Amino acid sequence: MDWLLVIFGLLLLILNIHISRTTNVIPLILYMSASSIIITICYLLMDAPDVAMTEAALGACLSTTILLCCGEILKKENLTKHKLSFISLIGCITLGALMLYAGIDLPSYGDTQTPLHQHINKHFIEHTQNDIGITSFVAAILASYRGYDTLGETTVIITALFCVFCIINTNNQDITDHKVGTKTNSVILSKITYFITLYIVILGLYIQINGEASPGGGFQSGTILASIIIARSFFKEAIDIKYFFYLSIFGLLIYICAGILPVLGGFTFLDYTIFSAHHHTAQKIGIFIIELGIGISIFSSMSALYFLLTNFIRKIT
Amino acid sequence: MIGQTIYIIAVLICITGLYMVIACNNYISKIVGLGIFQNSILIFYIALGKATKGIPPIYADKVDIIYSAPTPHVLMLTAIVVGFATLATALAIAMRIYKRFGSLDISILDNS
Repeated sequence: MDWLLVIFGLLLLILNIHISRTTNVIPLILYMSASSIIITICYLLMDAPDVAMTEAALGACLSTTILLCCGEILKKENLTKHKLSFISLIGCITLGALMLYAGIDLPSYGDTQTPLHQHINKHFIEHTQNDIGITSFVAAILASYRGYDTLGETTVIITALFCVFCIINTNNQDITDHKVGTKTNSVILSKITYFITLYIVILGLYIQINGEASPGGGFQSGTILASIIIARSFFKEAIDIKYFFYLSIFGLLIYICAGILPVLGGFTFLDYTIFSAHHHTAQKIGIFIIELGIGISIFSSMSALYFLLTNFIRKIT
Repeated sequence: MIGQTIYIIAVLICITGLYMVIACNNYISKIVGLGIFQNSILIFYIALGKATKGIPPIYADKVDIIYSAPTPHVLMLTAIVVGFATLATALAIAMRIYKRFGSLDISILDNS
């Protein structure tokens, strides 16, 4: 058993129990962000760099930004629990005991003789170099073997964007009524943002393009590039939000085009062999196209989600 | 028992999140509790995929290499992104409730 992982796991447990007993909103959200960071380290210790990067970008950074904007409304309130919360505590502990009893014969941590490591994972690990030819197994499964699921995942984010837009629109406002950004004249914010934008762009493009050879890909790079737009919105008021809506649909359309083109050529949906004669090159072209679509879509959806929520909160306070 | 410590920790974090969803009076606390609940499930799945003396699932051109299983990583990537989408939608609904009723506390909302 990995002792470093046990130490971080216990730290995480203590932090989460403390979260459940906090009485102010802002410390609650910041402890949640700290919990996400510790979980990122745990993922790295469990050999999952892709998941760690996504958790750091989405869980520790973007979730905290959105929660903090909403939590700022309640910063003077006291968080209480039900009068009868003791009964629910007994119920939860009973449920936990039942789950632990059901998990008595779970395999030991790191056991390789379990069915999880035998059938489909063994197939993916043995056949990826021959079938697809890229070095990252996770990117091969995400973009090629299970590309259909990733299409659904991108659609979920765009659906969430439109759901938030429909929920927040009151009195049938037009989409152009949402202005992106505030007009503060802060010199510090503008200078720091202009300085750091170049580095964020280089990092985001690197993670996007190297998604098939190393941990990374469209989801992580889209979120990192969205942080530029969010930082810019603190001091400039220029972009119309409807462009982000168009851009997110455009990203999804790129993904679907990579699936429809093989159908028009006589193959099945999302079969990349149409793109080139050599099958490794064809897979790489297909994966590059869909990662591009995912990156554009996630970039615009994350930015637009942040703007919709913060604009609405500014209007109601 | 020692080899299953991480699973025990995941279950305990899970019931902490569930307790927050049930017992807290405030909607933001409930949403945060839902996030904690979801994080524990992700830890459990990723811990299942680890192989002893394994390396992250990126191809290395050496002999006798053991890789950690890549399929749980792919599924949990999707889960994190979908979890963020549900968080944003839940917050939008909570903000509409705040705008209409002026409070996010259940004990006040029940009486209005």
